[in-house]
Amino acid sequence: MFRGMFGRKRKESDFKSEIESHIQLETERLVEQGLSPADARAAARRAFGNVTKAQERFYEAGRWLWWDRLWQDIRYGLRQLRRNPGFTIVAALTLALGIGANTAIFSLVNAVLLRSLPVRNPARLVLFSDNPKESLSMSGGIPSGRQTLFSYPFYRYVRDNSRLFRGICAFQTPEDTLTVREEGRAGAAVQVAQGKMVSGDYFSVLGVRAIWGRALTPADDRPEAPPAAVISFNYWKRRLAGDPAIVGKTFEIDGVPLTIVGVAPRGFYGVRMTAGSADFWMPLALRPRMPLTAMPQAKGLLTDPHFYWLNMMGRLKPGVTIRQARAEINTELRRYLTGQAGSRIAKANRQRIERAYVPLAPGGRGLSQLRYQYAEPLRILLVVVGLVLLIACANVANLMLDRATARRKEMAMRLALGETRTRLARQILIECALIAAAGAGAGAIFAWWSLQVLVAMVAAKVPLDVRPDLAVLAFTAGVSVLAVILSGMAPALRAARVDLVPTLKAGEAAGGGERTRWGFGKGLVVFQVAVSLVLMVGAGLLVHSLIDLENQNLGFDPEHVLLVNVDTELAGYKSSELPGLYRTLVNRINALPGVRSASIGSESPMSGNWGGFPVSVEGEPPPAGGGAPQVVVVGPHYFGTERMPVLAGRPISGEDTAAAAPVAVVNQAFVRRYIPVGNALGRRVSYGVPFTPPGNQIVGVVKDARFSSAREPAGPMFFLSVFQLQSVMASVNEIEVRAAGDPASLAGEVREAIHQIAPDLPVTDVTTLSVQVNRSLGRQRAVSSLTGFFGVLGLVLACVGLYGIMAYSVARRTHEMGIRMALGAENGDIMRMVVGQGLRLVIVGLAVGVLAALGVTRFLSSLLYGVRPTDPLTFAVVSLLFTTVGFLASYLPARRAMRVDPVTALKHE
Amino acid sequence: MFTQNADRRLELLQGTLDLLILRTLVFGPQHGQGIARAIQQTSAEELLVEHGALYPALQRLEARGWIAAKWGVSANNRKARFYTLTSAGRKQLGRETTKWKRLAAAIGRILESGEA
Repeated sequence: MFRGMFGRKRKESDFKSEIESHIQLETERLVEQGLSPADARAAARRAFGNVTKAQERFYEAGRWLWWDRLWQDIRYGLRQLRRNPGFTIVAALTLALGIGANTAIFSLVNAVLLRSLPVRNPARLVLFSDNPKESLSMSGGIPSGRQTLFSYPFYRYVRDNSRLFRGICAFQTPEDTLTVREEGRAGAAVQVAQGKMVSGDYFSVLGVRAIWGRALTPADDRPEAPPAAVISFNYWKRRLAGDPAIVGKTFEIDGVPLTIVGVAPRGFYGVRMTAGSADFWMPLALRPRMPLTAMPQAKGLLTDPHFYWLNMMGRLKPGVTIRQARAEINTELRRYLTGQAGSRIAKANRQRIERAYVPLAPGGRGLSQLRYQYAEPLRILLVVVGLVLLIACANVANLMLDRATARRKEMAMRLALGETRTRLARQILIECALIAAAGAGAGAIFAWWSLQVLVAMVAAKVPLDVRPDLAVLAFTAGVSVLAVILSGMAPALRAARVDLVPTLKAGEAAGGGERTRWGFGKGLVVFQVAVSLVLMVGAGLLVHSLIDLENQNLGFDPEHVLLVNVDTELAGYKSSELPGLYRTLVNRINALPGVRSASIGSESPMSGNWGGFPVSVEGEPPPAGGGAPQVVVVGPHYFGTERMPVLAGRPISGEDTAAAAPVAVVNQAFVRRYIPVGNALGRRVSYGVPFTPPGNQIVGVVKDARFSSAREPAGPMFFLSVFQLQSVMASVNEIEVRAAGDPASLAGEVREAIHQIAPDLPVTDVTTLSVQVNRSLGRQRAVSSLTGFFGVLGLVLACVGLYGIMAYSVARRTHEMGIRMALGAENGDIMRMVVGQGLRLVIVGLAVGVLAALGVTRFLSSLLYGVRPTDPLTFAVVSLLFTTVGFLASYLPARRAMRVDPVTALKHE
Repeated sequence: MFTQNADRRLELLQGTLDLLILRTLVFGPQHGQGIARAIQQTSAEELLVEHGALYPALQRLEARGWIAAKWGVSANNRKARFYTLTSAGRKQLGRETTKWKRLAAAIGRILESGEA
């Protein structure tokens, strides 16, 4: 029945032959009644009426007409635009900037925040955490309140007792670095790969099948099962050349022989969104057999209920909501904790159990460090580019209004010739759409180019897929349509309101519409100034924060320090050989010319690594809230090399060996948290809770240094001597060298020295401490510079807008200027008049903008540092900048006004 | 002949042509000329249908889905476009007929009350 609406439209010729057949039939009928054929035909035609008119009516009723007219208007619009290349190019470029900026930022938002895991029905996945961050480590201490890391026994309990989930899996994050050797290949080199320990139902919960062989199953996740692993598509293709006989091959992974049972599909990176994650997935049950764990209690990983090292994800049964699941899991959590606590529960413990909860959140988008870091900055940037688009649209609207004014006569003429006002308005919108289409095309190129820069800023190390997909295309199309509406609506309405008679009579220069054009243009400029002021204030605050972050005292001296990373594990050193190696290395490097001091450590400040475990101080109750201090393993001269002042006692020295009593150095934050009263020196600290003798004696206190983040004050830190540790903890891989001059120039010699002493020891990374500190400010720098860039862009666009309206105003008032000058007005008067008019607009815009900025800058709070959202200095500087720029933008048209020759101006009329 | 007494016949009221076309098609498929003839004959030559006006109306009804069209062959072996009433058209006819009858009755009552 919708044939008429959606079916193929009838052709005109078809209609014509129908009329033909009608007249034929009528003629025949009349002939039958006795008329002569010629009379009959004439009568039939008479009865039919006007054939051409019927055909015209048929044509007008059809949609062809609509298309024909649209096509006409488009062609006319194209001609108009071609005739004014300057206007067209400026307008299209302005929109290209707006649309391109939006497309680029949205592509990032899409890749980082919106995309789902490539698994079956990701919307049904639930993460047992509301934090997409990945770098969780094996710490945790006493569970208090919010729980996002879980012990193996708890995982089994929930998996077996939950009724609302189709399945729940557990996995260890982050990945471990593994050494891999293919078995049976003589002389095969050891390779490094990333491994992830997962529960047996990991693949079935995610809904992922192996493309080759099979996925891991719960049967693999039993201590007695033959060791099995699934390999990632990337690793299989890249490192094993897509070996078709991969399934069934055995690899020695960290010394344990594992059989590859399957290959994961391409694009599947586990619960992460990006590549560069797991190469091997192995069952959790293998964990205790792998020697790589740094924790002394590793044997208890599968049995110890106080060992929090797993993330969990579940797939909901059909019809179950996340709210129901949350209720169930939290009931189970408390039941489990109560069961753990035994029959007699202390009051404090009971309260703790009451408080415990798991913040279940949708898990379809997986885990992502980037999302954690950039969720908020990206949202802010999306607003920023939205504002840029508004400013750009205001500019184009202004240009269109100018053009519409110039074309008033044309419009009035068309109206007089019987055109409808709707069609006039449509004509303007079509021209706007043509400009926007050109702008969108150029914007896409601009976006593609700038995305490379953006990705390098945001995710230098993570491969991020920002290729445009449907979501990005739809977004760009939507933004373009919005741009057409925003920039074309007002000019289109104005075109439709043309006053016929006065316009045709009065010619170009006058007419009732002039006032509204001026008024509307002024409004647009005020709006532009206000919006770009908000942008600039935001940018100013962020840049201010960045400068503060860069120049603050971090508690160590990042200048002149070279960092060299080696991998003793990969080189196969035994832990008994390590102290000797470290001593020789450091002594040799110390002897190099240009070296002030050298040391070794498990990490340097801002390395992004964090390792720690719960500790207890003898005679002190565990502090409320649990937690764990950061533990750093260091060699002699570490504090001197980093320039971290020792406030009391002594630093860790070369005498702190396995033969001597175990020592520790702590920072001020540690003292504040664990030893609130009395002298810290001489106290004993042990791993775990409660205190177990003998512990390490505190021999020194160092000044707080910001190790993890330039934004956060230092947390409690605990430094141990590398010579007093055994097993993997003694394996320390960073050499710090303080140079007299440029540290980078020492890199070659230090490498050479390492190579001479230990030819097998691979150097994995060489950088400087200042570069590392800078890198830790990457997010801040990215957001600050992008907001700054868009702020300046907005300012430039607003200035163009202001200049445009002032130039227009001067041109419109040439006649008036002439009269004024003829009546004796001085150049200065004209100047004051024009500039005053421009500055008034700027000042109104500033006032509106300042009020708006005061309202919105608090949304930046989380990205600000050392500056309040209402920082008066930033507001003052930005306002001054706008006034200056506004002055310039109205000065140029004012100069033109001063050059008006009264005689010409008056004759002109 | 109807062509000669055309001046005496009634012009169609706005909007009634659609109703008449639908009504005519109740008796089966018909081409445009046939519809025009049928309207004139059933109204006892009282109504004036300008044949040319018929086609835009047919076009409109077809677009609304109330009638469907197909090329066929007429009784005297001429090619003609035949129109059929669709089920939606049948419903529309029902609605329009009721409406028309009520309207006619109402107008009738008003006019009669004026005469009395």
